[in-house]
Parts: sequence; C-alpha cells; structure tokens
Amino acid sequence: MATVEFKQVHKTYPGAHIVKGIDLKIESGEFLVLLGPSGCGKSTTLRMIAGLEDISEGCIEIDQQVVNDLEPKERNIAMVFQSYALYPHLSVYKNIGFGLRLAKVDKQIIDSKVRDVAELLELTPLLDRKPKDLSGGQRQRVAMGRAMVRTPNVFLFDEPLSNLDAKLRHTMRAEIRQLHDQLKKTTVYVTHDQVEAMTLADRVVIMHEGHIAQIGKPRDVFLHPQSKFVAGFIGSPTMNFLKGDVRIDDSSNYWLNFAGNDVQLDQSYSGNVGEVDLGIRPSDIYLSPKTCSHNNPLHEFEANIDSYELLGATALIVVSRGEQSFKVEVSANYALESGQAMTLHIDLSQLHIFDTQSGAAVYRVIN
Amino acid sequence: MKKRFMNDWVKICYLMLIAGFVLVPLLAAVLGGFKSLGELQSNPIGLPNNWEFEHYGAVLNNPFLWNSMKNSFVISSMTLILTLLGGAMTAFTFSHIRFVGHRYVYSYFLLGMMFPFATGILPLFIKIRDLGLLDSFYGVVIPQVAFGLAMAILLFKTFFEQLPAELFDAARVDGCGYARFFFEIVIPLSTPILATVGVFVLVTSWNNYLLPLVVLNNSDLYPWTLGIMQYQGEFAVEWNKVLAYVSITVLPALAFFIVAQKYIVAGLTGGAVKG
Repeated sequence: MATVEFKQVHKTYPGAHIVKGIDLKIESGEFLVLLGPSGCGKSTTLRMIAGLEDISEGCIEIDQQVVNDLEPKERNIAMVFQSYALYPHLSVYKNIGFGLRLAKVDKQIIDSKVRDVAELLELTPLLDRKPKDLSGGQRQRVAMGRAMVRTPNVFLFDEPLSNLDAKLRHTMRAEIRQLHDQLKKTTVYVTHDQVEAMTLADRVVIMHEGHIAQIGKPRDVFLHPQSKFVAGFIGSPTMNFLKGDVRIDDSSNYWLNFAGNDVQLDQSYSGNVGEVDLGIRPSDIYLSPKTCSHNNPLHEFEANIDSYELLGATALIVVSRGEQSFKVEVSANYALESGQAMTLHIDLSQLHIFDTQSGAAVYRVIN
Repeated sequence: MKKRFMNDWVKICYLMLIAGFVLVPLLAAVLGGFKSLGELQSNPIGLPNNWEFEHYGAVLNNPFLWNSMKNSFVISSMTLILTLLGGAMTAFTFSHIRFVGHRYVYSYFLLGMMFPFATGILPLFIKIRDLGLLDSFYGVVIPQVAFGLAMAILLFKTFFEQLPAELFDAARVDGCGYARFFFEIVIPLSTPILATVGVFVLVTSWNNYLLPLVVLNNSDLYPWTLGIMQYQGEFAVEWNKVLAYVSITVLPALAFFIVAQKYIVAGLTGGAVKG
C-alpha cells in the first residue's frame, strides 16, 4: 500500500512543454484514472511515475519517498502497457516470472507465485504457450499477471484495453475493477475512454494541455464540470453549448437571456454581466414536461427537428431554433421525423454557465 | 488466360537463364574434378565420359587441404563471432541511446562501406606489421571485422529500431538494464537478422583471398583460398585437381548458408504486441 504524490511536476522536451506543473495526491489503495484527449500529457505523467521518463522539474513521491532518481525497478511499481509488450520468445510462464527471475528470487518461490497468479487470472492451461498463440484478451491477462506477480505497491495501466474489441473490453473492465477490489492496491490508470474512467475510477483526473482540468469522483465530474473543457469532454453525446446574455436589473437580480427568453438566476451566479456560454446536456432536454421526473423549473421553447438518429434504446435528434441548433437525447419510443416542429423543455436546474473568456464554470444549480 | 500463361513462361525462361549463369560454372567445377586433363580441354562443360575419382581422392587425402580448411574455419568463425557481437552491440547503442554526437559516430562507422578493401591494403599491411600481427590469425580477423562492421551495424540498427519500444519499457519495469535487455530480449528476437548478417560475413571471410595473402607468410596458417595457389604451383596445369579442391572447399560455406536460411524467416516477433 502506498500513496503517490506529485509536487509541481513539469515535463519538458526541447521545444515542447508536455506537463505543466501538476500537484496531485493519490491515496493509498485508490483507483485513480487519468483521462484526457490525445496529447494532454496523461501518458507522460504515468511514465514519470514508472520512471520511464525523467522529471524535468518538481518531484514525485511514492510512499513519502522522493523517487525522481530511482530506476523503475527500485520504485516497486508494475505497469501494464497498451500493446501488452509481452516477450515474444518466452512462454506465458516465463513472461510472468521474468521480473522475479531478474530479482534473483528463489526458483520454487517463483514457481508458486507464477502459478498462484495464473490461477487467479485463469491462465493455468496456457502457461506453456507463446504469446503469439494467445488471443488479445489472454495476452492482456498475461500482461496483468506479469504486473501482479511482483506484488508491487502501485499498479500503472497505460490504456490497457484500447486494443481489444468492444465486448472483450467490457469484460476486462469488470475484471480489472474486481481485481482492484480484491488486491486493494494503489492504481493509476490512463485512458481516453470516458466510459472506462466512469466505471473504474474512485477519482478521475481530467487533463488538458498538460494541466489538470479537474479532479473528482466520476459523478461529480459529470454533474459539476468546473470548466467548459471538462463539460464538453465528459458525457456522450456531448454537451450542447449555446450563447446567452446575462444582465443585472435594478434590484441586483441576474437575468439570463437565451434563445429569446429571460430566465432569472439565483444568487449563486458568480460571473460577469455580458455574453456567456451556456451548457446543457442532451439528456436534460425533454419532449414533454411529464417525462421530466423531478419538479424542476422548466424552460419551454419551440424548435424544428433537423435530423433523427437512432442509437438503440435512445435516439439523438438535432433541433434548431433560429440560428442555434442543439442535440436532444430522447427515448427511441417516440416516432419523430425530420422537419417536424415541436415544443421542448429544458431542465433549468441542469443548466451550466461558463465564462466566455476563461471557460470557467460560473453558475450551476446544486441539487 | 492465354496471356497469363505466356507471362508465366516468360518468367520461367528468364529465371532459368539467371539460374543457369550461377549454376553452370558451379556444375562445371564439380564435374571438372571427375575429368582427365585432356577431356577437360575438349569437353569443359558436359558430363565426363570417364568418371575419374582419383583427383577428388588425391585432394581429400592431402593433409594440406584439411589444415587449410581448419585455418579458414578458425578465421571465419572468429570474424563471424566478433562481427555479430560487436555489430549488434554497437547498433543497439545507436538505436537506443541518444548521446552527444551519435549521428557523427554512426556516419563514421558507415563510411567503412564506401571504402574498398583493396585500396586500403598497403596502409593496412603497414599497420598490421607495426602491431606485430603478421603471420597470425588476428592480423586477418581484425581487419575483416573492421570492414564487416559497417554493413552489420546498418542492418542491425534498422532491425532493432523496428522492435516495439514498449518491450524495452516493460523490461525496464521488470528490472532489466541495457545489457540484460540486449542479451535476454533483443538477441533471442534477432535470429533473422543474425542469420542474414552471419551468412554475409561468413561467406565474405571464407572467400577472402587478398588479406591472408598479404598478412600470412607461414604456409601452415594458410586458409583454403591460399591453399589453392599452392596447388597451382605444384601441379602447374592440373586443373582437374584445382576444380575438385574448389568444389570441396565451397561445401562448408554452403552448409552454413543452408542451416542459417532456416532462421531467415519473418514474423518471429509475432505476439509481442497486437499485430
């Protein structure tokens, strides 16, 4: 069990600043997911924990010990790679036992450890095979076995599921979570797949251009994004962004004007007067007031359906009103077609307001 | 359909012609060893009228052949081992470690390929003499390794750079340093390139004539290429024995090629990463 702490960590390459001052504390036994689009620095951050990349500035501590100058093997970590990175010329047994053999562990102990791990991961019948004779999911499990057999303090996963097909990914996701619950090891997991992040994480760290955009429980990150970037990144289909105007009246009440209507904002509004960005998730817009289960204030407006896309249980429609168009997620039961005019209801309690300049969230009704 | 048939025939004829250029002289040499001197002049290419086995017998019974074969074998194996080891290690360094000036050093190694062996023979002789390596195997082996390294490094480096980078990351996390990774992971995965470079180096060394000629004076140290000279001197016009000698001495190189060929196969890295 170990904590991992980042203190003002930077990573620079000649001509590029990849990680720009990260402060982060990962608790012992926590499952932390680093999430972000490609090139946001999440993999580099993980590789710095592993010791595969040098730290340009700042320090990383594992279990309160600064590890900046330690070799990967001295950090007591284990890593699972995106491409599995199994040794092609070694059998599954030797692949799993490789690290222990290098550490000069007694052969009998290696044997019992390898067999225990193989048992746990259901690899026992495959121990004599070479990686090329295994399926993608089996290779993935061998890679995990190789990490687990060394009983490390910290597990590092670098997009371990992105090479698997959708169904297998689902199964392996559940297995990884189950293993974590069993082993209770500090785990850092890098992914660009928000579903993986939401389902696996105790806490999610969303990274953007080398900065941490937000840290929080998956539910908090989804419901209370602190910036326009996070709001747009998390959630599928993505959040609708509209333009609105905020003005203040004589009695110091803030009023939001969007799509031709005025809505009064409560005192939690912390932004300025003038143009703002509004965000509303496609699932917070309803076809009829009755489908909205709670008694929240609704904002009603007319719109035309531009397109209709069936996703399965739900359907995605794109509606437009004047110059603004946005996505609405509705039940697939409705028979809708393009060109149809209809009344929509926006759940105002789910409205997000972002500062146009900084992108910071300035208003969110907490419920 | 007819056109394709014609195409195939054109290809087959072309390939047979090319194969003929290689095989006919070889065959002529093998068969020449069974002919009398007279027949060799009247019928240099066809099958012998009388199969005379005594020329092969004489060559095989001559202890000089076996001694020169042994010398060739020692020189070639030393060259092979040193070139493979030195070339692979150097190439590994170039493909994995970025040090100051690595490009210049790499280019310097490759310069060796632009430098014909024969042009350097005089300074080479002087240097070998100064080092006191005349009349020793080292005097032949070391220059051969030096000249073989350029090609070996080029081929090895290209191959090593294609090995997945995550393999090295995984090995580092498992506790491998550079040396461990090189011997435990890279070398076992490099059999195709080791075989390719090995064949190239061994055949070049096995057939080298000029360098041993310049370096070696003691006939006890002669490799087979110099031994053939001895034959020509002793039996001035006995071409049938020379041909028999050549046919026999080519065999070890051929055998090595056939063995190594098995390993020159693609796909040995299958299963390391998703592919």
